[in-house]
Amino acid sequence: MNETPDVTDDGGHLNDEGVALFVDALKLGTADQLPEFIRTHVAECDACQHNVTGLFALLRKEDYSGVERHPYFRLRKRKLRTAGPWLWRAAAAIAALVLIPALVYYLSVRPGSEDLRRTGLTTAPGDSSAPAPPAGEGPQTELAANFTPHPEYEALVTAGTRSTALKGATPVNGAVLGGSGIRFDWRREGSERLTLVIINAVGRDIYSARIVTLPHTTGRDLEPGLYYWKVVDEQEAVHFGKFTVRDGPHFPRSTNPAQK
Amino acid sequence: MPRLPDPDFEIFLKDPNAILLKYQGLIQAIVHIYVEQGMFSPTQKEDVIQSVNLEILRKIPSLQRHYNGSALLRTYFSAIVRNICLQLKRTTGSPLLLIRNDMESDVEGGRQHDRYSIQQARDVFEAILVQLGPVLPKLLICLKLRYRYPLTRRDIQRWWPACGGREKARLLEMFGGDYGNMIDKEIHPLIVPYFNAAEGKVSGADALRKWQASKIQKILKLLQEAIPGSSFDEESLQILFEDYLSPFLLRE
Repeated sequence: MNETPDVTDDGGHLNDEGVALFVDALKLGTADQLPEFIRTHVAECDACQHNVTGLFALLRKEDYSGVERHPYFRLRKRKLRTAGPWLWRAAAAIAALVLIPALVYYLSVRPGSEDLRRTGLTTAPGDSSAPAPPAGEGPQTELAANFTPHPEYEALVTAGTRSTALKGATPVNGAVLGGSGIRFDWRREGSERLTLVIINAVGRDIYSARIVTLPHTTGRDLEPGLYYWKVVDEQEAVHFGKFTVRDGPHFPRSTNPAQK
Repeated sequence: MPRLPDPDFEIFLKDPNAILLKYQGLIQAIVHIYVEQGMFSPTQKEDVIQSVNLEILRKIPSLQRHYNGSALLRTYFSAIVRNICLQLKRTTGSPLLLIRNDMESDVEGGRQHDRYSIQQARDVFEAILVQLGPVLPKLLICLKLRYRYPLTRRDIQRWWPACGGREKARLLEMFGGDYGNMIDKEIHPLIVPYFNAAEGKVSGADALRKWQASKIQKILKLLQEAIPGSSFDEESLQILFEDYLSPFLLRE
């Protein structure tokens, strides 16, 4: 039965068979195969939504997993979620209980284990020294995530910003710094208000401050990791940069001349 | 798998009584749900089942003429049973019963708190979202912004397939991370230009707020209609939405 089904009444609403067809689609996961005019109509029709939802609610517990043929839909391989979301939650919880400790153990820093110290670090272009990871406090999985480049922000750093970007911005891209009191500086013409935002490697904003005077020094310590920073005016970002915090707040200040 | 006629279709044409017998479990299950929801009293259950059977027997010639075989017969049959039950409720004039003596239920101050499962609400919520079809990608964006969930590339791609790379990057920069400290008044002016660009029109933040509010109210109304005795509000909608986004649910 390949032709457009006769499933509407004189008013253009779904008749009983049309409602049944839509509910079949919901039960079988084939809503994308419904005729366009049905999907469009139902999306905008309160009455039809009421009927479809009402019938679906009645048949919610009916098992359609054994349906192997349908007069209108081409049935795909059974989706795994028909097993019930609770089953997958249970499986995921068990996997998490087993895998995460195993991962933490595998990635844990053991004294003298040099191989583990290279995990997750990046080397900025032109930076000849590959910074060693800090001696671990806390799970190494978290540290590894802290040093993993964020693809979108890497692209933004690489792409640069508007031509009226900040001049002489520091920290320079790829700088390796201590985590305490990071100093930001730049030159820019114009007097619009700017905001400094620091973003961690997983894309979360962790620091934001209106820039009043330069240089600006952060009032909070940063944990070891890769960070991105941006400067935004009232409309958009005008600069993207990145730096790495090597060790904890008590690490000696960087030897990078730009930071002196 | 190819499209093939429902085997029950042929049986229905040749021997409808056999189909009625086959679907007795379905009839009982639907009537039971309506009894649980308070549409009928438990003592009426058998009478309702009998009435449904009699009505179906009376309608069989008409059903045979109108049913095209596009949908599964069991689903179509269920729609007919639903209609008959709703008609019975209307014609008998009995209001929703507030006190049930032999059902497990909470009775407090003369009002009854009907039970429904959270899973039921989740399933119905998802069914409602599917019905919204063409507007769903936009609605998902709106709900994510409303409840401060990060937007993803996939969200943007589904809502605005023609979105350019620069616009996508800006959207992700603004809303792809943690923007929980932003208030609605900050978010709407930022997102409205992108909605306008995606839809090729010019609307303000108010129009977007009204559209969003109307869709949320529609969802809440459908939930409450589908699950009589339930009460859904914005907070429960957020819970359902969070569950909908749950990574534990395998989706396409």
